Amino acid sequence: MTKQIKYSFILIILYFGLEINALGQTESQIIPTERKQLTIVTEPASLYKGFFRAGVIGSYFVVDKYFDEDGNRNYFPESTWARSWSMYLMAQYGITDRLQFDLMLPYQNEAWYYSQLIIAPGLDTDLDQSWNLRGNGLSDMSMYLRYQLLQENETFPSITGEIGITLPTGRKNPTDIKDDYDYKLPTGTGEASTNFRLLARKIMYPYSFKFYVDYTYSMGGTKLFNSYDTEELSFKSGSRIDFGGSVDILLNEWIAFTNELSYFSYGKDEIDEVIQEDITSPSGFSYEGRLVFQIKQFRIGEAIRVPLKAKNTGADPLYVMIIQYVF
Amino acid sequence: MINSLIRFWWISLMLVFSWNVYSQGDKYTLLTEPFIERPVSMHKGQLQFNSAYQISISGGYFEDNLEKTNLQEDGAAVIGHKSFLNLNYGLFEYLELGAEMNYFKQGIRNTTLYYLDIYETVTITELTENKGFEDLILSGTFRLPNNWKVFDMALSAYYLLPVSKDVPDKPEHSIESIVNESQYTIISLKETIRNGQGVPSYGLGSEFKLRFSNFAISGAGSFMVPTKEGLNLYWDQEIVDEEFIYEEIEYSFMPMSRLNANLNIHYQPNGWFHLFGGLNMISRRNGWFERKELKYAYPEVMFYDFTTGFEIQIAPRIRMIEIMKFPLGGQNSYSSFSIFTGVSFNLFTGK
Repeated sequence: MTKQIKYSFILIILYFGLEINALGQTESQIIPTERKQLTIVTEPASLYKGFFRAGVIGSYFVVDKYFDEDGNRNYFPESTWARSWSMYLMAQYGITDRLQFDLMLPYQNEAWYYSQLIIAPGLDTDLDQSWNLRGNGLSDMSMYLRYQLLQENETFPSITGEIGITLPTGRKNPTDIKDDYDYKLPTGTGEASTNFRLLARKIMYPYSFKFYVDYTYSMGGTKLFNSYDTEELSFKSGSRIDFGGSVDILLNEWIAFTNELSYFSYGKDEIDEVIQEDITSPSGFSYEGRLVFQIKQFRIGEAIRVPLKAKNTGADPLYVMIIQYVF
Repeated sequence: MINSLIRFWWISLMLVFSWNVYSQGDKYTLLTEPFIERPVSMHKGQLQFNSAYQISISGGYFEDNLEKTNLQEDGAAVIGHKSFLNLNYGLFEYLELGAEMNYFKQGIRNTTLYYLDIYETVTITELTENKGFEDLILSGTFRLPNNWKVFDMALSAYYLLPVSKDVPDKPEHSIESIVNESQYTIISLKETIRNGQGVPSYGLGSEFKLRFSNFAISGAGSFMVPTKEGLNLYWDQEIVDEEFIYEEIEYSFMPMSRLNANLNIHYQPNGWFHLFGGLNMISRRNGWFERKELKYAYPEVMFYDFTTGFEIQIAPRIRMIEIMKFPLGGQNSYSSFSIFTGVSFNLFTGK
């Protein structure tokens, strides 16, 4: 009798053990369609093998205020303002479950407005002038390779390395120059750059946490700095370092709210082989809040980036809209 | 005895549990009520906190003759930033109390002026900043207890408490002289105006909702009038030895009366999403101010725009609202395109 009880007990333990294993195996069997519908919080750090994500990212901002060299937020005092919108066509492809390729093709549309009234009593002349400078066209395209160095497990976050290159495909010089104040604005920077990123990410459902460090090295080039320049000058933008962190939360099964705090800092620019020591390099903190809706394989996002504290850079918010689809 | 106690405890626990479940379910239903079915005021015990941010880009100005001046081309477009804070509470099923206080900031630039002669160039820039909290508006809303499925209506009373700063800051004008081959002088004029009104106002309003299946028409109108004349300061200024000297001068004024109205059509394709679009009108009139014993009327202000947006229930307690506003016309007002993003947080107090 005792033996029977022992056998029964062993059989029950074995049965439950197998059952648990079977359950565990079942949990990991996610069908491809479900993988394509993972939210920004629950998706892995790179696309699954063979998945292709395409989309459009639109951004809009105005130039109304700036941070001065002491970090004070000021309005531009003169009668000038500018607005810019960009449209990025983006494509991502999962080469393996850990390796992803990204391509970004940006189209830029900028307008800069300025007016002045000149009164010259000696010449008995009043001159009311206004300029509307515009520039639109292809900007600088970028490509990235992202690899999950460490895949996320129950204890440790995923660590992802990324290398990117930006090519100067945008128009680097002012064109159609009629006079000092009548020309088409450039749409590119005129130099190639490469960037390296390390990203740590941990999912703790319904949250995910990110931390990243990013370094951009500019390779330099030549361009006309002003419409009245007669020849191009060589230049090299200062290197840029970014780091930031993000706390993302799923508000329900298909809406995520992400909060990112980031810092950037530029090194000194070089123009005509002279390092611009006297100019304070831009740096600053900003906050970006995003609402991202995952509707089956569609992803629709809206973001606003607000500069918090900075030096020698713009102080206006940036609006971003994202539409993506995973094939 | 012990068995009876245990039984009593079990029954009590089950009752409490089932009451909680019912209560939670009931609250859940009310919190996730689609817009079309929602009454025009809060339910009893419902606490609602609304917060929003709006960016406005004013590329034009509607003049007194209703013509539109292009500020964009003049480099004088105005970017406004407004944060909305609003709290509502359903004291009873048909009576709601509310409080609202908003923060507004914008910078208005005038055309840069260059004054040239043989010996000197003078550059004059001018910036007027509106900055600060607007006044606190308290409201009481009484919803008609008709419980008709098709029609819902509420009447509101408002009182504006002038708690925010209304006295303009001392101007921060500056003069900078640079002498090299010739002389340059840069005069920067900067004034900061506060958004407080300085005088209490009271008002009445009404809103309604007309429901047809998945559609609804909603409308609201309100007016506010000041209770009395007020006193404020302006800064008289002159240049002495290349420095600005300011003098505070008191003046009396009567704030303008406000009239707001809107009419919207709503479509609710499902329980968590609703689209709407409509017309919005703002009017300000009947105000005056005094300078050197002469009374001047504030120019009448009128602005109307087309608004369209959507609301999404993103969690039982949270709704998100996104609105875009396109200017249609006006008088003595900026022609503003606005993007409004808001969050509404709702909960029920008590049991």
